[in-house]
Amino acid sequence: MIAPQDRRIIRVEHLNLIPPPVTKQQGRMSERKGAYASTASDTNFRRKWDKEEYAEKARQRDAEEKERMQENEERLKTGKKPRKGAKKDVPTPTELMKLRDYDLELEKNLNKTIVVANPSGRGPGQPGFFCEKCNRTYRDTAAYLDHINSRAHLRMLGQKTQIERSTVEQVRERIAFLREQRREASKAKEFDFNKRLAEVKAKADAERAAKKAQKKAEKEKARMELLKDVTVQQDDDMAQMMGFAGFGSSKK
Amino acid sequence: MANTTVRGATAIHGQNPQFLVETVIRNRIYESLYWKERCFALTAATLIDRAIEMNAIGGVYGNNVPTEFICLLLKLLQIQPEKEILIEYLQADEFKYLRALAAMYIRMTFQAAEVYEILEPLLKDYRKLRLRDVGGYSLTYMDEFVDQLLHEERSLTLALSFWVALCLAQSLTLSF
Ligand SMILES: [Zn+2]
Repeated sequence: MIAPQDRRIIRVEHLNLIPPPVTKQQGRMSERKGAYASTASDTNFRRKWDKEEYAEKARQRDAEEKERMQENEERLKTGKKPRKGAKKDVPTPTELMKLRDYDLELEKNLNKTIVVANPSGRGPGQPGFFCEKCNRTYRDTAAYLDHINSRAHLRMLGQKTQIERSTVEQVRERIAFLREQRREASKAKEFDFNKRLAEVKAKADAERAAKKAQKKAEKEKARMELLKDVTVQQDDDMAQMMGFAGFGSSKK
Repeated sequence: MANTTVRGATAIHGQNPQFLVETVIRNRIYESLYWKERCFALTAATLIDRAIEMNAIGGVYGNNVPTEFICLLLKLLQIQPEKEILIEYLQADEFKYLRALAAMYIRMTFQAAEVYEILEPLLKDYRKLRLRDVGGYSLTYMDEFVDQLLHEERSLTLALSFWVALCLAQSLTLSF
């Protein structure tokens, strides 16, 4: 057991972090290297930590934090709420909430197998939906939709969270436009119908003409056969009469 | 935001207009993909585009899945367009589902006398409407739908204001 006052003393000493003097025994220990201190070249593929770089990062972070703390103190003095995170540079919202004028293509990669292009676990090329504006990835459509409808995302786009109020004129215009569009579409369909009808008729006519021509050709051919047959027959008769057969024509 | 009622909206029957759609259905709408993807940031003008794409009226179908019709109805409650705009919707007679949507909205939010005055001419519209509900699709007509709006306290699984229904009943008996 250590008495409370002793313990306090021990703790203080510990905080000073004075390295204990190196004894002879320890020196010898460091000569005999353990398994972890091996210099075998087959472990060279391992990542080497650049201590200097990380120390620099830590210093930077500390400086930022210090700055934030100072700022928060100022803010508290003037009666404002302290800032929790680092200051983000988002644009001030200038326009009203706008309708998305592009297709979200949520089902673009549905039922597809895709190679994950970026195995680092952050940034684009991850499985899921990525928001380029905010550099964030979402696992499913629901989370992604929630994000792109969110205040934070709209802030990044410089949009307010209020929608534009349509006037009666705008509504009238829209209706007139859609009416015209529909009329055009139906006219186009009608036009298509007439065109198609003409096409069908032309095709039928062509077919009929072809059939007619074929029939005519067949008739002509038959007539020619008949004519030839008659002449051959006559020849045969003559040959038989004269005592020799023909050359064995298939036609008799 | 995506689900909040427009700033400066007037209370309908003493409450937030969006509350006219019951909480359970309203939450199903807020969760639905159609609401999040297609109804975001719609204005009274751009809502027409969605309304003419509709092919059925209805409340919910399947396992409490909200129809596009009820999603757009909630959107109307959210943005609360002016009366003139709603009249424009009704007058665009080639877009029958837009007309049905506006009729439903007017029945839910207007005072009884106005409701009757505005909707009565629609009783002469005999066009077919498709109705989607739990049992699937069925056929109804515009005049039937409007008649139901004028006479009943519920339509398409939505409670219509009882007070307006009562006033309507009185004005109907007075007019006959
Ligand atoms: Zn975003």
